Amino acid sequence: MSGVLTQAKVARWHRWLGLALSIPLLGWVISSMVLVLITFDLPNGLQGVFQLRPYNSVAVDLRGASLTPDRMLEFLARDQGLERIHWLRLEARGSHLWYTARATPFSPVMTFDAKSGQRLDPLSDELLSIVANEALQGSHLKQLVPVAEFNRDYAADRVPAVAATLVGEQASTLILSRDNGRTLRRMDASAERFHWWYKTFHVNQYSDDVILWTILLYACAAGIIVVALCGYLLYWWRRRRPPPTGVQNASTLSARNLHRKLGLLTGGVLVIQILAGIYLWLSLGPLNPSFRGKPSFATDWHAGIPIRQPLADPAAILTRLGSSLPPSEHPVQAIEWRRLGERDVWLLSLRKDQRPLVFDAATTARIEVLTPEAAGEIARQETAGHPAYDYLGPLHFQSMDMNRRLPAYRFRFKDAAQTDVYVRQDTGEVIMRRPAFWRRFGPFFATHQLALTRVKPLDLGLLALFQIAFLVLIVTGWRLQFPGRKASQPRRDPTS
Amino acid sequence: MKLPPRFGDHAAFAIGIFFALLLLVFFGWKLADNLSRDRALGPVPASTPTPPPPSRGKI
Repeated sequence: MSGVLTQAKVARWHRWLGLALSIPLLGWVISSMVLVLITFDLPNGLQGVFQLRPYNSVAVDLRGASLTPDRMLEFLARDQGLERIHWLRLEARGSHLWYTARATPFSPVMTFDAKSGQRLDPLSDELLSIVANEALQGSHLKQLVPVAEFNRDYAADRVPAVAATLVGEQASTLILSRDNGRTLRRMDASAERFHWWYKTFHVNQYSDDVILWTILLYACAAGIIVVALCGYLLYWWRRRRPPPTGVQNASTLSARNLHRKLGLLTGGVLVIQILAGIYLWLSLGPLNPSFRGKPSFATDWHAGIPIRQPLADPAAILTRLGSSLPPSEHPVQAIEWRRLGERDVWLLSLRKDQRPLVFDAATTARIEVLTPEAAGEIARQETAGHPAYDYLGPLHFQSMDMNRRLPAYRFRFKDAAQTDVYVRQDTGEVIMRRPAFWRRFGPFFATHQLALTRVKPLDLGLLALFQIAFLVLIVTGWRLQFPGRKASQPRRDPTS
Repeated sequence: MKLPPRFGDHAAFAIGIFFALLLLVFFGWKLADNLSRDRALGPVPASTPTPPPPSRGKI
């Protein structure tokens, strides 16, 4: 048994540390309830359901590009010193025709005016407004706000972007990259609410300085664990003493009783939830690049289109493919030149909301899907160390660009992180990397959420019970610290 | 029957520790299950057909 002084010290720590940390704890508890309510019945999770606009707002024929793709490659070789590119694309945005080129699968995209060759990236607000207005059906731009966005496809830690607020039929916020206006993220009202509550009250991130706010977050989490352990210690020391009576009024006494009992009942669970939460934030915060598989980017990537290779111009492609393309009153929306393994291909987008049609550039034969072997080799070229891999099978996977589930292949690479790489079956595009670290997320998340049974109402009920208990713990703790003038008077014994 | 003093506290402590242990066991079981499922994913024949896309659900 510890001395009276030690016990008093621990009691003081429990009281004052608990009081100070009750504010972040209150934020975590309330925000967890809000987050659960927001995501309770979302039809497609936080990714939302959106109707993309299928056609450019102005019917621009891609044959109107004054510069040929060969000329663009010459520019890229001369001005950028490139020896090869991952892909080259010609597309229409509003009345503009753009060439976009990606030097490697992980680099920012370069955007050029297809008539003058002028470099357009980083895109001006005016050009991004055109992109935003053409993004979603029945919606138009209200405002643009510059942001820096984390994205799993770019080697850069933060991608220069804008948050475009859209109003109309599909009120939403789109995060558009400054390089070519690509939609990096779409948020409907629910996702925006979720994001705000999560950042503000659940993980307490008030700027882009992840390390600073994580230190504060973890300090609070560690402090609450200390408060809980101090509470248990006090109980253990006082377990044989008679319960306190007489010196407090009835409401303070009942607050003390409730605080003690609920603390003993829920403190252990709170500690485990916080420990699981610490791991989760490690994944989504400071270690997010590793969590998203960025260390598996092949910095020595050496595939793609050689810069001196001649490319067919749009007119030649459309003439050669004329009979293979379904009739449409709208012009082709985009042509992309790409090399898939040993084959040069053309990707023709007839609608912006549908997958492109892929054609072999040598034979003009349509390529419906790549073989797993071909897709696996493309993924291997893009994986650091070019390790061996196993093919784990086909599946459907959500594509952010197309906002729909698309057929993909899954491969497991024998690298240090045992990275799973998901590759689109039609274009060979790597759409996801999941190292073993990522794949351990589920058990921690289920523990953090108390999702014990997989029966949603039951799990949510259990979580709600504990969250309510935490709220009562906080309120009774405040009541004990601030009993008020009346309550601080000693209780008069009615029998005296 | 008169309950011993602090009986409620002792009961709350016992149940609380039980909850915490239960949660730890649950976590261990989920983690073991996760690891074994992950390891069980092995190479499949390249001819395996793509499954139909699932209906939109929470991701």
